[in-house]
Amino acid sequence: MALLQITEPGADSAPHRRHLAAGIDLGTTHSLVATVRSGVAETLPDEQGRHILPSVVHYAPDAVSVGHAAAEHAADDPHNTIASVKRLIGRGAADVATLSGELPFRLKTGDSSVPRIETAAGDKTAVEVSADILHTLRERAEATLGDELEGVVITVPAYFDDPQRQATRDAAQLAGLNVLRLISEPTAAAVAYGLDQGEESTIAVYDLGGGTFDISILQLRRGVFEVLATGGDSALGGDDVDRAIADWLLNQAGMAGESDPQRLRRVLLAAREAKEALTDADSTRVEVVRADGSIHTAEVDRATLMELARPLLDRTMASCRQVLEDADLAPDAIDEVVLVGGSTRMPAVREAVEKFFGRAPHAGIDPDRVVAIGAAQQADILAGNKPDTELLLLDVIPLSLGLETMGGLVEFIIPRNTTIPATRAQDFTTFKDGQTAMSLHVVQGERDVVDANRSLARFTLSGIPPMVAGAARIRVTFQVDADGLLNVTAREQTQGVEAHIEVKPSYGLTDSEIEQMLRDSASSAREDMEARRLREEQVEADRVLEALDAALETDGDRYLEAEERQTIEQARDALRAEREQGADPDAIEAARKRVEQASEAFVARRMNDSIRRALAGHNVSEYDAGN
Amino acid sequence: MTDPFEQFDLPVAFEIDRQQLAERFKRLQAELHPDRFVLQGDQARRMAAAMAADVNEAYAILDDDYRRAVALLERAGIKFDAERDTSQNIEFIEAQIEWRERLEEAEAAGDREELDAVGMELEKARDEARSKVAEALADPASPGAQAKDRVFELRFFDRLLAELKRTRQNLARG
Repeated sequence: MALLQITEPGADSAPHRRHLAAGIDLGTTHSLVATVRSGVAETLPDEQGRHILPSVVHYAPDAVSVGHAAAEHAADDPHNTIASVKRLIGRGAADVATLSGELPFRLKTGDSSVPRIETAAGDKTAVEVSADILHTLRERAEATLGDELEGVVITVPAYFDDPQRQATRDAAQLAGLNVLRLISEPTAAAVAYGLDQGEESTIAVYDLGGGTFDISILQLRRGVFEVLATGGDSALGGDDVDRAIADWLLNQAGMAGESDPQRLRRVLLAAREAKEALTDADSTRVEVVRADGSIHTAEVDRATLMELARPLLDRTMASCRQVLEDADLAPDAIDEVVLVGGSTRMPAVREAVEKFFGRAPHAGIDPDRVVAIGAAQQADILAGNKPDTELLLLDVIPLSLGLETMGGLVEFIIPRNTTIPATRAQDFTTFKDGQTAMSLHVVQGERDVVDANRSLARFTLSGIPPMVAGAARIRVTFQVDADGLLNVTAREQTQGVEAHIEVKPSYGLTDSEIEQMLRDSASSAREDMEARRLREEQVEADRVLEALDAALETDGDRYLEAEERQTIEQARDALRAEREQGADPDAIEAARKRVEQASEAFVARRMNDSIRRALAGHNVSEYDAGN
Repeated sequence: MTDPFEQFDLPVAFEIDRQQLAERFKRLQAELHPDRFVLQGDQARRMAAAMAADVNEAYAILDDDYRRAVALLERAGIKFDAERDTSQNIEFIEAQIEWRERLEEAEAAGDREELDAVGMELEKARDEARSKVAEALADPASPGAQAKDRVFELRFFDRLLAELKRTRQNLARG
């Protein structure tokens, strides 16, 4: 473990400590990790120089492999080779039932509401499989950077709802990662191209991967990225082009009825190679081996490829038209177009996109890596490595949040595209005389009818004092944090009875399940749980100490009476002593809590003052500008 | 929560400088967003999140004509219950029914051109309603007698326009 730098009061060592942070693109077919080094964001390769990690995990009875090694088992051991797990994460048994036909592995919905995948290493949830992928990326980053990561930014699709985001966060926790923020994939791509620096613009992000297509329309307005609309096709991608070329080759070679799997696989491989060759060349030569051993040589040129890819491209363009209609925009209202996904390397795709939107797309950054690169840039800023940057990425909630009301209708509390963090409260009342309990059903979605939306959680506020119908005043507060995760509190106003739920969605994992997984998981078996907890407390204590010392140095005299300052410093010194002794996580935690308690008013005064200064400073500059 | 006008240190008035509002919003978020406190411990992060949520809410109120008008009414001591209160003006109630009927007929017929036409008229009516709100709130300390009714009218047009947009999208989806 790394030696910790202890900051002496007043010593100005804090600004020099670089916080290691990374961006992770946790994708359906492949994943990447990137970091900023010497001011440049770049993806990190494995020991063989490969940047892309296939999002595949293979479970043998006593070994787990991830990535290329796991993918090799896809043919010989399909049931234990888990791919495309992102399609399952944060989904309940009912959602998954509709997918199970498309997935090669065995699903068990059984006793828990969270579906599990049967493997030779036991039943696995999507969260655990994702954690294994994240753990591999974490190890890669830490091996490259030579120290532990302090935090990561992980990307999720723009349309991910609360349970899917929560599950992604759970997976990160399981992999021992500190999540600084979840950001949406199209936002990360826009950040990679620096589009967040502009004032106001409307951005289309066209993401064509191997097996999925996503189109997102973002609007940047006053530093906030709003997702105006998202669409796409979860079963459409570059693999379909490979198949189209392969079919064409089989016809050319007079092998239309070919059924030998090995020969078909070879033709498919040849088709993919031809497609990739045509990114740079105008034509390429392909050899196909027939059943009798004879060889057919075909010439494939760009025009042929264009023709074969046409149906696929037409389908993506239909999706583009659809999202523009959803966003109530014409194609010429789009100011910027960004390409994401390996399949957008095909010149045919670029031409089609350019023609549709009437402008050349941004394509300077490797489309496989652009999302991870944007995430890494954001992670670098969040970790505090660019203290002077004004850049702040504000997000919105992608889907409306509400409560079920009488008659199965939804009362929306926080509408979609509200900037987060957000807090909104609404008052409800009882509808029966003497009613002492009220059940609340939290939903997410845009439809007026409850059943058409996603059910997030149910909880009950009990102990309401008996009153006549309509007399009780129950205030329900929705709080959404910067990651888009929801907390709901219900409080009876006259008597102060309170019920509270952190929305662990109906089919999410409970804290105890997560804890159990932490114990069980392969990633933490190698680490002692106590040691891990101790390290987490040490890191948190260091953060608090570092921040407090810096705050006392700059603002201590301004905001603190001598006595207050003394109380804070005593608590701080006690924490530092406990931290240096360093063996008991509970004692460190208790000492940290005492510091936080002692300094609460100080922290609040500083924040209030920074608001005042922000406004005052601005008045001056506006005045200067002649407003 | 703090008064939104005070939160943004803006003059208490219905007409506001949007440019100024936007810049102050960005500046406040740059100071307060919990992202600024990710490495400073849980407590600072929580406090920042609560303050940032307040700023977001104040901004949402100031940025929206209807919500800003309601905030002004409440400042002037005029109670406004968005859920229960409705307009008592018979003429306007009749006008509302008429607008709704036109919209429902066009929707039932799947007539996109008619919907577009109604939309243009609605926009115009909404702008007029907004002007009347601005007039009634010209002196925010003592709103005109009609202020509350005017605000209801503005809300009606905002809601109907939002409904129209949803209807159009549903038709586009087929």
